[in-house]
Amino acid sequence: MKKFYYFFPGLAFLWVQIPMTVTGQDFLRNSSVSGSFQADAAYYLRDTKMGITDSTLDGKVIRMNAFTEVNYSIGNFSAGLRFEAYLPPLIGYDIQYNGLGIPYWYVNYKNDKIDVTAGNFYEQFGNGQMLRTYQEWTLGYDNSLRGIRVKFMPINGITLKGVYGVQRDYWVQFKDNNRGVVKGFDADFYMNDIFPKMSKSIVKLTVGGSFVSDYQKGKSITVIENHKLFELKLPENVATYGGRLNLNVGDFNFYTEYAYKINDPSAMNNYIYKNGDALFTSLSYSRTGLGISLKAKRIDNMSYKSDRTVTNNQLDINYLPPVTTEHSYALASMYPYATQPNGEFGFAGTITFKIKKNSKLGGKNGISIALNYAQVNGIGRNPLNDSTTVDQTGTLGYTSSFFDISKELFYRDLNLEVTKKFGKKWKGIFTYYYINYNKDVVEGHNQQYGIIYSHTGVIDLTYLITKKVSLRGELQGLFTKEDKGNWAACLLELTISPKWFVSVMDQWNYGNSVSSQRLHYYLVSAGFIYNTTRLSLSYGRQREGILCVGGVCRYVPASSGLILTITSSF
Amino acid sequence: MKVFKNILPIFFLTAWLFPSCDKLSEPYAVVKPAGGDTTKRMVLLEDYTGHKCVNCPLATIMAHDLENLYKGQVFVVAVHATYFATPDPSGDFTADYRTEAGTLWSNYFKIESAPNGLVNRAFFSGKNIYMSPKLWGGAVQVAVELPKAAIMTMKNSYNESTRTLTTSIDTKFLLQLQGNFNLIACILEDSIVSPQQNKDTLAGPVPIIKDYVFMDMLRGTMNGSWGEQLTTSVDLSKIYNKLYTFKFPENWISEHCWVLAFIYSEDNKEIYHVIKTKATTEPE
Repeated sequence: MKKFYYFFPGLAFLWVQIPMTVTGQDFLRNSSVSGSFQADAAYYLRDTKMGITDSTLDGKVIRMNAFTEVNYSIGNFSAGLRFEAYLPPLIGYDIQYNGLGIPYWYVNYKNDKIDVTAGNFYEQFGNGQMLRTYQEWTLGYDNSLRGIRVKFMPINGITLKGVYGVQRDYWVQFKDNNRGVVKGFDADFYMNDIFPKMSKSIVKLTVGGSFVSDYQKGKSITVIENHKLFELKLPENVATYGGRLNLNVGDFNFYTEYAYKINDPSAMNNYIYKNGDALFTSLSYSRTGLGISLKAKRIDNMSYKSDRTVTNNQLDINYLPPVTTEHSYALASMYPYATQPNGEFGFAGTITFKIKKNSKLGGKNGISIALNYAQVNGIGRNPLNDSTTVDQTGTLGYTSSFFDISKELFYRDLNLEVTKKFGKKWKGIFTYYYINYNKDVVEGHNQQYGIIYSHTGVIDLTYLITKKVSLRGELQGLFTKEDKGNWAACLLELTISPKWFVSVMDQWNYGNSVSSQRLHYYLVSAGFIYNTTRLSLSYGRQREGILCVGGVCRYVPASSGLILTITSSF
Repeated sequence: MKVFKNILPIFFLTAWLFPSCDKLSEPYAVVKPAGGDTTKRMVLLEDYTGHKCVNCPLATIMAHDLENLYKGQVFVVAVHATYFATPDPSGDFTADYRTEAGTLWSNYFKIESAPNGLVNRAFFSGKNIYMSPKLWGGAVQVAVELPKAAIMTMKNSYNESTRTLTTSIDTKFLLQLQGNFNLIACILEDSIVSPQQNKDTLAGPVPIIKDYVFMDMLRGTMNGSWGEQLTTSVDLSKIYNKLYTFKFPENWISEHCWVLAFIYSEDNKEIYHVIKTKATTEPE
C-alpha cells in the first residue's frame, strides 16, 4: 500500500502532464525560433600622440555595445524582442545609450489580408521621405516606432498601411508628451495586379501615396532673438504628405517621389515657418553587361522629427535618401557625404559595363568597369525682405524657387572602378576617386576648412594560393593639399576558408603639415568563423572621422586599443 | 469599381482619423516682456561651452541676454567641458579651461557636446535635463515664475598677500522642501582673453575670434565638485552657516573673480537658490 501511495500521485501527475506535453510538442513542432547576437567590446588605451589621455578616457577604458534579438513564430503569429546593453557605450556612440534593457519587442499576426503588429516596428513609406523607421547598429541609430501597425491587402495589388505610435528615444520613457506621437497612412497600388488587362503588359506601374502627422504638445516656445525674448507660435500637428510613381518598361525603370511638409519650426531649421518639400527621381536601364542609372533630388527644409527641439540623429520620422555613393576602402571613405536636410540639390549618374571575355580589350576573363559621378550643391535662399535675414527665427525664413540651385558646392565625387581577373589565381580591382568635400557644410563648421579636393587611388589584388587560402593586398593613396594632407595606406589579409582570417593594416598621414601628427594608424586583426558565429579581435588605432550609412553620419573620435567583436545568428 | 468601393471607405476613415495639420499664419512671433523679480526663484544657467565650439559664442550671447533680461534673478556660469574644451598640443587652442567639477558635471548630466545648457538642473519639456540654446529662454521663463525657495547671504574676505579667500554663506529656507540639500561654492573668473572658434558673424569674426573675452568661466569650487551637505531635513527656522577658505592659483586674477554659490537637492540635483558676489570686495 505504501508503494501505491507513492505511485498514485505520480500517476496523477502523468495524467495531467501527458496531454499537456503532447500539446506542448505540437506547439513546438509548428513553431520556429530565430535570433541574432552581437557584442562589440573595447579596451581603450592612452595614446598621447593622438591626444588620448587619462582625462579623455575618464576611467571608462572598458566599454561594450551588445544586443541579442530573438524571434518566435507559430502559424500566423510571431513575437520577438531585442535586448541591448551599452556599458558604457563605445567611444563615438551617444552617451544617452548608456544602460541596458529591452527597447524593442513586438507581437504580430498576419494572414493573406491583414498584418497587425503591436509593440515596436520598423516601417517605410515609399523611399522614406515621409516616414522611415529603421535600425543601423554601426551608427547607433534606432528610431523604431512603438505602437500599432496595421497592413491591409483588400485585393491583390493593393496594400494599405496605418501606423500609430511614438519613436524610440534612447532609454527615455514616453510620458507627459515628452515627444511627438506619429500617425501615418500609406497606400500602394500595383496596377498590373489590380487591372487584369494589364497583367501581361510590358509596362509595370505602381503608384502610391502617404500621409504622416506628428503631434507634439506645446502651442508656443520662448526663444531669445536679437537680445529680446520672443514667444513663437507652434503647430502641435505637423503633417507631411506626398505621392510616388514607379514605372517599369522592359529594361527601363523610372521612379519618382514627392513629399510636402507644412510649417514645422524646429531647432533644426532655426524655428522658421517655411513649408518644406523634397523630390527624388531616378531612371535606370539595365541589360546583360550594361547598367545605367541617373538620380536627382532636391530637398528644401525637410528635417522632420518627432521632437522639434533635437538636432542630432534622433527621432527622425523621415529619411532623405542620398544620391551619393558610400565607399568601403579606408582612404576613399575619409570624406563621405552627409545629407543636409535643410536644403540641397543633388544629381548622380552611374554606368557599369563589361568588356566581353575573349575580346581584344577584355582578354580571357573580360573587364568590369563602373563609372560614377555625383554632385550636391546647396539650394538658393533669398531673404524675405530687406529687414529680415535668411533663416531668421520666427519668420518664413527665406524664399527659394524650385530650380534655384546655389553655387555653393557641398560635395562632388567622380570615381572609376575597373575589375579584372588575371588567369585563375589573380584578381584585381583598380579604383580612382576624385572627391570635393565641403568640410564646413558636412561637418557643421563655418568658413574654417572650406572645400577639400582629394585624389585617391586604390589597388586591390587578391591571389588565390590554394582553393581555400587567399592573400589580399590593398595599396591606397590619398592626395590633397587641404585638411590633413596626404595619406598612404596598405593592407595585407590572409584568409583560410572557411574559418580563419588575419589582416594587418596601416594608414599613414605622412603629409600632415604638423610633423607631430604624421601618425601611423596601424590595425592588426584576426578572426575565426564557426558556422554562423564570427569572432574577431583587433588591436590598433582608429583615426578621427565621420562614418556615414545612407547619408546619415556619426562622428568617430580617435581611439586606440583592443576591440573584440562577436556576432552570431540562429 | 469594386476596387474603389473597397478603398473609398478607408480613405474616409483616414480623413477622419488624421485631421492633423496645423497651418499657422503670421505673426509667428511676439515680443515678451522680461525683468528680474528677486522675490521669486533664483535661476542658474549653466552654459556648457568650449573654445573649439563654433556655435558657442552665439550661445554665450544668448546666455548673457537672459542674464540681462532677468537681471538679478538669473546667473550664468560658463562650464568648459566636453571634447570642444580639450586643448590642442599646439596652435590657437592650447589653453585648458576644463575643471574637475565641470568634467564631472558634464559626465553626470551626459553632456557630450556644446553648446548645451542646464537651467537650475531641472527637467524642461519632460526629457533631457540639458538643452540646446534655443530652449534656454523657455526653460528660464518657467523657472523664474517659481516661488522663491531660500534666502542666502555671502561674505567674502580676500587676503591679497596670501591670495586666500574666506567665504561665509548663510542660508535660510523659505519652502519646506523634502530631501537632502547640498551647498556648493564655485569660483568664476571674467575677462580671460584667448582664441575661440566661431561660425556666426553676429558673435564676431569667423572662423576664429583671436581675442575672445571669456566671462563667468568656472575656475573651480571651494568645497568639492558636489559641494557639502547642508541638511538632510529642511528646518525653516534655522539659518545654516558654512565657512570656506580657498587659495587662488597664481594665474587667476582675483579682481576678476566671483563666488557663485547655490543650494541643490542631493537626490535629483535640482538647484533651488543661487547667489553671486565679487570675490575681492565685501558684499553690498
